[in-house]
Amino acid sequence: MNASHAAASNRWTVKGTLWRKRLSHQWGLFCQDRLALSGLVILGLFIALALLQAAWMAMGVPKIYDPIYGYDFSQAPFSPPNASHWLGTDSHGRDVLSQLIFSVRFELVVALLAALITVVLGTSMGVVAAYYAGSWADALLMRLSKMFLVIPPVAFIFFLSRLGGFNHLTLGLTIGVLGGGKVAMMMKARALEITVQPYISAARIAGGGSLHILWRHVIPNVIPFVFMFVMFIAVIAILAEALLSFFGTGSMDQGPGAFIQMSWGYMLFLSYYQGFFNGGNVITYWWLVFPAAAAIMLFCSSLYFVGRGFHRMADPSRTFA
Amino acid sequence: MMRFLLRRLMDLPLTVLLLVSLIWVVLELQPGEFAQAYLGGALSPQYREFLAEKMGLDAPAWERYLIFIKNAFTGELGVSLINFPKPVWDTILELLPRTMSLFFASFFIQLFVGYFLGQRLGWRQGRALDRIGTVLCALMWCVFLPLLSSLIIWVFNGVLKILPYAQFIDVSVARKYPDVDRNLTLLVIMGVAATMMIVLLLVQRRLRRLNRPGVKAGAMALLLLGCGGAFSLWLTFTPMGSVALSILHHMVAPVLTLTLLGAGFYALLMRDSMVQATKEDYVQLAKAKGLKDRVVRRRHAARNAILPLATSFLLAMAFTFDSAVLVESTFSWPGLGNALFHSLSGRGDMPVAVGIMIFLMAIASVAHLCLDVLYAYLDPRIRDRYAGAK
Repeated sequence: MNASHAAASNRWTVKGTLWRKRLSHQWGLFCQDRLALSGLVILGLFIALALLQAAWMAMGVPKIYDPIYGYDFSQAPFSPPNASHWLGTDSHGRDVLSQLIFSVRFELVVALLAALITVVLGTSMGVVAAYYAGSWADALLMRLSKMFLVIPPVAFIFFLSRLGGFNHLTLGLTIGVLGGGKVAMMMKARALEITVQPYISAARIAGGGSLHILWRHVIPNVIPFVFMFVMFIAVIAILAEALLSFFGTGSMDQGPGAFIQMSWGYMLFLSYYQGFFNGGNVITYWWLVFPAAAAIMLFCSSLYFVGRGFHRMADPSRTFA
Repeated sequence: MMRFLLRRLMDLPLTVLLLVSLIWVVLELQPGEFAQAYLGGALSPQYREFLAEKMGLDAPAWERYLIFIKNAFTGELGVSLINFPKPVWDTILELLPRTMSLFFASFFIQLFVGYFLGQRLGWRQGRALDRIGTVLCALMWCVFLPLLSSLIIWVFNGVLKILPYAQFIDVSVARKYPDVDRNLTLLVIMGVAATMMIVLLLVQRRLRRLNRPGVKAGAMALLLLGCGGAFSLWLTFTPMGSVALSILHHMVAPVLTLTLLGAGFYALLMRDSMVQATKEDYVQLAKAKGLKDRVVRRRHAARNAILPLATSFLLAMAFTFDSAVLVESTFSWPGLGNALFHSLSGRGDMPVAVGIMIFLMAIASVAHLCLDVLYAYLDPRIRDRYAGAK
């Protein structure tokens, strides 16, 4: 009893050490790409700001900094950046910086949900199709993923938004399903290279079931490659969310449409609707237009660079820099 | 190759069938009665009943599905509700050349710019220029499209006053030549552009075999001058040419927007692929042979760097479609994308929206098929996979 317990704990120590070593090695690979590292830092900064603001708002801040209901009576609406409002105020006298940071959580929800569903769906579809290559399951899954491949995501989401309202959760879900179908094809190509390896045959001869082989031998070898594509899908999810809340909210009062209370796209929509995109207004009232647009750009490109860093970790022979 | 082609061709109707079924499922999932949801509340009850009976919207679900599929495949997409008796198919055919011209122009320019930019960045990898270029390309890819188009309108229309604001033809030109068919003009422009591209490509290949750079450059310059001269004469002196000139003038801003948006992405793909290619033995060999840097980059590295783009490119294709659809609405370019937007906003025009969605997806499937076949043609390994036992 005692001996087996010791052996078990020893096994876990060894496992932990191996895991830590591998992680530090991978981290080293990731850090080689300075762009990926700076992307990670920028993403971390966004998340930290969002957490800070959430905590700050929970502690009971002055009402003037509320992103949705706040109003500062001491200043006119559209006031430029000043000491009390670092990025100025919008048409309703609300703090722009507060809105900007408040939106991060929704962008994160959309991106993470889309990414998660893409990973699960794309990997499982691709791996099963590759493992049972040539069977009816393969044929069916590949037809399905080809179907998803040719759907233009943003146009399709606009079409769907006419039929039923979108919130951040359903939007992330939809993009994830569309993206998972897309990624399945890439994953099948990767998994096909794995399933012909001798160790798969060895595992089969040793008596391993299909599920065991897929879970222990195939998936761990293909999953690192999915991250680059997943980041791509996450970027598309955020852009789609921004575009949907920009174009889609116009139909909100006429029934189903986008229902997104606050996001970077919605901030841009408000500025556009009030004419701040027109002519020189873009420059005069820059704080109503550029912060949100720059946030979208920075967030998405950081996601992309982090995805590249992950890809480098998965496949060190493939060098990006 | 035949076998491969046949297999892919057989897949095409199946993909379209799946897509149409998806659209049907989405429509069916709406709450309430199908006919009411599909046709909306804007019609008078008699018209709605008439249309519902004509389009088979009252039938039970499975019958509705069969009718929907049949209609989609025979092109019976119903009639528009806003322009009431106008068939959806006519709307699509009328708008198609406008979307296609915008899409093809921006697509080829994007690819071209991305190819050359990515090739340069990848060749000088790790330098400051490469880093700055990579970051800029990623930022441009993630730019918010409506803002970009507003900025372009402001700069080129408001400040510089050299480009028109929106629409696709000047009103004065349209009044002056009312009997010139605009879609025909667009088709002529596309045909001329395609022919010129093919001719230039063929002549260039022919001249390269001569192996005399001076002769080649001279001949190409002459040819370009000749073609350009003839084209500009046509543009200035014929009625159709004037219309074409106006349309081309209006096309510059959307194409510029799309190029700025998409070229960065293709440049990034090309750069990564190029970095990989520079590590290959044959590139090292070409360098060791003492070939010029430029020649190694263009002939040895870049040519081989194109193929690995295939998978990423397939992922990106649908998004390229998307941006073309979006840019139409920001520049009010009267194409399919703009019509889709209009049919989805306000009161709504479901038959038009459904028709355009089905058509866009079918076109995307055809484009996907073409790309597949093109890759098989370019990469013998894919072809062999089908020629063998499997």
